[in-house]
Amino acid sequence: MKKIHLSPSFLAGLAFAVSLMIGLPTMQSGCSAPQQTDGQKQHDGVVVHTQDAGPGDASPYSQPDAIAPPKTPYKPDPTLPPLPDVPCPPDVDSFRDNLWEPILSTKCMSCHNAQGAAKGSGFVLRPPSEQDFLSKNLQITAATALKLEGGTSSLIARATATHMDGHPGGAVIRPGSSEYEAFALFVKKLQGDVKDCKETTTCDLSQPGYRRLRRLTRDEFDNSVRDLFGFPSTWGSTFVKDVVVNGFDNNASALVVTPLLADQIRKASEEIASKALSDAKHIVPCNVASGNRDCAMRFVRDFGRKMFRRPVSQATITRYLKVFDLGAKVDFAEGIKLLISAMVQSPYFLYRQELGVRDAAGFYQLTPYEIASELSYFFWGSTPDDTLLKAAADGTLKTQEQIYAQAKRLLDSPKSNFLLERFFIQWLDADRILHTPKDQKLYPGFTEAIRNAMLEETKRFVRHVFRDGEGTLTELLTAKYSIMNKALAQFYKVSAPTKTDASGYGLVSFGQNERGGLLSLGAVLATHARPNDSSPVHRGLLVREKLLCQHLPPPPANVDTTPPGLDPTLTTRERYSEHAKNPVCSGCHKMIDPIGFGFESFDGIGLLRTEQNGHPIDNKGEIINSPNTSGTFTGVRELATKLVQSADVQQCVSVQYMRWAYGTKENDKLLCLLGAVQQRFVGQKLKLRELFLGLTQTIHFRARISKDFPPNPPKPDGAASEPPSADAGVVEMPAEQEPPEQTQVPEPPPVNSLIKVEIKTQSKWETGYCNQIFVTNDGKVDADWSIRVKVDGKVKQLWNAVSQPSGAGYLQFSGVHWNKTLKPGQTINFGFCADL
Amino acid sequence: MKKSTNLSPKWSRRDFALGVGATLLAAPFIKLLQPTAMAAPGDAAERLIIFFSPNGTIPQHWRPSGSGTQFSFPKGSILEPLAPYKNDLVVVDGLDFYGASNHEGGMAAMLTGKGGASTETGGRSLDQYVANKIGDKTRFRSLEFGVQTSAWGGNTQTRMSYRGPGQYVPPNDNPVNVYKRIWGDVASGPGQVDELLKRRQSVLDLVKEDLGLLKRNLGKEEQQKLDRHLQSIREAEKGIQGSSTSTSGGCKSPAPPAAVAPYDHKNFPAVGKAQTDLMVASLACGMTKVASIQWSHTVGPPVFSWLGIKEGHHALSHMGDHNKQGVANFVKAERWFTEQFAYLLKSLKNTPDPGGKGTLLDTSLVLWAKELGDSRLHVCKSVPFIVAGKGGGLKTGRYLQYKNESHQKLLVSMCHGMGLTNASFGDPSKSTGPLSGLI
Repeated sequence: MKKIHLSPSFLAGLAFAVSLMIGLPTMQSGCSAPQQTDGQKQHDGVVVHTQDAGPGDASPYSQPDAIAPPKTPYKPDPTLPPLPDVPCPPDVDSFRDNLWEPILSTKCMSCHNAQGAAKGSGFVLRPPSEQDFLSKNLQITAATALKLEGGTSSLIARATATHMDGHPGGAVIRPGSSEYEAFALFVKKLQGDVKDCKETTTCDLSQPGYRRLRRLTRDEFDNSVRDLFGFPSTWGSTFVKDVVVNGFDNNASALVVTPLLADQIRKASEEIASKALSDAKHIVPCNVASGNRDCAMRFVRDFGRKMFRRPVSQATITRYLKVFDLGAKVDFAEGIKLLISAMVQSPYFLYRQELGVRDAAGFYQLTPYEIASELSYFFWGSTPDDTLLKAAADGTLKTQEQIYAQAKRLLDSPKSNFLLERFFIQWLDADRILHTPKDQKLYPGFTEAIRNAMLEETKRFVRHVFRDGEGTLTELLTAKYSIMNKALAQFYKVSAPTKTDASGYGLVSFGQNERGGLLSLGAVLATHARPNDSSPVHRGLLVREKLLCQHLPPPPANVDTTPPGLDPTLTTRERYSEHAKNPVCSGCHKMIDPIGFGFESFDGIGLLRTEQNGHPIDNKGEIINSPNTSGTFTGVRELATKLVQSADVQQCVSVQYMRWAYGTKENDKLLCLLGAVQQRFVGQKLKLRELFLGLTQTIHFRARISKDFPPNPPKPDGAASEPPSADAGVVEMPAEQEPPEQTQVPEPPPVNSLIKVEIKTQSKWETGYCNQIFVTNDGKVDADWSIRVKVDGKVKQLWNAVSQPSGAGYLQFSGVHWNKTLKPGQTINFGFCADL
Repeated sequence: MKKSTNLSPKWSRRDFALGVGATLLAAPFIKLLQPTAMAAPGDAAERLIIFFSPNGTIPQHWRPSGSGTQFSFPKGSILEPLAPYKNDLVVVDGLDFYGASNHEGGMAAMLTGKGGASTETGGRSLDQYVANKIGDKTRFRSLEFGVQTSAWGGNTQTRMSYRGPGQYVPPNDNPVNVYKRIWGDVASGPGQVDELLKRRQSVLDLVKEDLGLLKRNLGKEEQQKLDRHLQSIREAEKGIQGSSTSTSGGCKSPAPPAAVAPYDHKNFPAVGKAQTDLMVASLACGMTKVASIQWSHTVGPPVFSWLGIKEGHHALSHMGDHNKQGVANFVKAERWFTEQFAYLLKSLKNTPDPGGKGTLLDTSLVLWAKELGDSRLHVCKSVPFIVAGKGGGLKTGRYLQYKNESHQKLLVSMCHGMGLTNASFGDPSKSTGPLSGLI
């Protein structure tokens, strides 16, 4: 993945990235035209107004520290082809961050090295042990990139396996992925197609991800039904399993409704309705035996608000009552049943909406109700509680601080066990412990009860670290204790817990025992093993892929991949060492197996052993090709300590969590936002809390952009922004106007109301600059102006406007009393000087 | 090749009412079963059945001996359990997946021929392409039965059926759930059926309205998501009409399957048998014309402990020839899959065709597909296929040996056997046209 350095140098050149927001007066009634305000004459007098643009937000996440890494020099090797003479040749840092670390060092280097399967190809990379290997590999990669195959760069054709001669390693990058984009940019630069050298890597904390719908996962469906109806739900758990992306089953793009699922939901909705009616007094506002249409109306309005997680419009109530009327021909209860069945099947229940309302800058500001849902599913995997819905209704769920306060409340509630359990279990595939096949003859003690106890141990261990321990990633990976019941303690051959709770679980300390931490949990070890043996491959891959976020290519085709047989006279390690002897296999397996060897003290079901087949266990291991993690270690404890200290792992865990929390694959924008959160996470001693809360504090939690109607482009040269087309405006407007929401959410302005901004740099010197900004109302109605401008450095002087911080690197400027409202066609100007 | 011919029986509402007892049925469903074209008997197969088992094969232990109509299954070989059905099938050898290799690549290419959205088959898999053409006449366009396919969730490894590029069609892994979906809707009597259906329909209409309203506020990608949802609801509308039982042909309401933990590997045989039985029963009752049964998935881990095997199937599939015990165990496991395929053929052969044209096997095309050739090499070359049934004019009792022929041709031939006329299947730059000499 792309490494993000949140440095001012990345922000340089972005001083003019302007996003606009017209602060229209809140509409009390109607929605067709903004309230008219008397405009004021523009004054020429310059008022010097000093404004400190430093951190003003209470939330700790608004101003990430910015550290600029030193630039790595390019030291060309005369024996290799030189970089071409082009305006913007790729530099060593961008090569390292965008090509070498995420792709070449892992996916390519395993075969494309002097001994590897691809040693005979024209693309042989140099190992990090070699001096100036980055410069050399930049040259080597550039030479391949400049070779053309049918018009396509050979580098891209091979990596995507579209080369006419194929690629034995298969496709290692996918068109459309950020990795692909990095390759494409690299090639473009080499071909001289990039003239502006500045726009290489940018990190803009004002850019959120995409607006979308997120279908409830099976878990979320069950949790929501439980909280809404007040009885346990297992319907969701019987639905067809969802598509898993990067190990998580909550990726928004993959959550769809197939015909099978539609059928299953339909059936579940009817069963839920019947069950709800057996004791309906919690949800139906009248006696079911004597209910009338008015009661049904109130039911749709009030219970519907909970089901749909937002107010129900009169139009919706009317539509739903038609279905009630049909059922009421039988009786009132049947009418309510139909309503429940419809609500459970409704997309307003089944999909979490993260759509927002388009603002003048083309960003979609999430509504308070959408934020309420985001928060509750984020921490609880369930529907918002009354407090959240009330905050949404009050309009007190908008700002970073308000979100922060609610996030803390939700995280501190026991209901956030959902987050703790689901994330960590899915991340490490620990729930496969329930089904992973084991040889019963070899492992008679590995019973159903032990499998269940191991899963329960995983949940309780994570919960304990978070709630009763330090709550750090360090403790999670290296704790010298776990939480288990007596049976599991016996199975592990450790002393039974002395103090247990009602369900028989309690803390067991391991002392010098090698067991301890997430990676040594039975559920993780036994899942990453073979039915009758440990598996250095599975365990090595676990570390490589889930903790280092490095995905290795599949074994090449046409190569005999026969694994070591079960020679009873050898240890597992000795058998797997065969991999290292075959150079075709060793390219990849030397990145996998030596890590897995470090787990050899644990057998196929996670039990400690000191010898195997009469030979002593050797649990020495090694990590290679991971810049911040490489080195040797002995046993899982040392491995875990090594991992948790590695920046690679810290970043990987952050990315894994973001994938799960945001329900999406990372892209450059989201990685930027994560960078800020991750810095704080690392700075705060890897407290998981910082990670969990931090991701509610990014712009992505409050706003989105549309893929189809991107934000209005910044126009630093002063050209007018393109108005969205009339069609676009219609399509993107909320279709169903929900009156109660309308009072909370500023309507998007009419498309003819446009604020044009022109920024001129008046003067610039080494340590500062002064800008003058011209604001014009190009629309047809009066408008109060308020614009969000990216500002480098610290503002020292400001005139003709006031400002307030608006996310890192941004200030929100608005007019003072004489220039805040612009008549159509009117232009005002303001200015500021800033120290860099 | 004649056009598809519908040979559904002339069922009447009365036939359904007989023997239904407490089963829900409805007029619109009956109409669906009315023959739409009682043309002269043609040679298109009535139904398509796909059987998948994972992790490739070891060719030398799979191949029959002999060739053409003169062939046999060597003693101890993987296919030997098919000996009683030798004259009901064609063994097809020497087909390669072009542009695909390895577990995932093979799984994705196996039934799709790697078609993009703009190809003739639109990136659909064979079953979904055929279902899209002929599935409107039945209660379910297609039915997907799974045997421990989804313990790891859905992904390229665990899915073989596609509605389009990237659009998986998931199988149902739980026989109890399958039974409830197909036969489980019960009403207290035909008198109440119409009213109940009307109410259910009104709920679905409301859901469709909601989908339409929500869709107006979305970008393209999310609109497509809701379009898929809407399409799924439209298909569910046929489902709400409930099940029916007829004494016509071999249609019998099956007994509810025993509730077993669907992902406990010890239950693999029991789940597989229950799913096979449910699949045959649903076909006998005309619930669908396109069905598939997927056993595990590529890289699938089942341990055939009931055969005394201790190693997972995927690990076994990678045993080198030097590892005699390992290879013997893999062959044993593969023979077990062959027995399951034989059981399917036997069941189809023992079930009368609802149209009175012999047995279900006589009027069906059955394909046993795998995703890899020699699993030890991770290649999709010489991928083993078996085509069975007499539908579509398949001349059975043959062993066909091709050389580096594209398996997309087999997919085209299967379509032709189903009465379709597509010229290509999947990526046309790799291959077009049918497999010569198959049908």
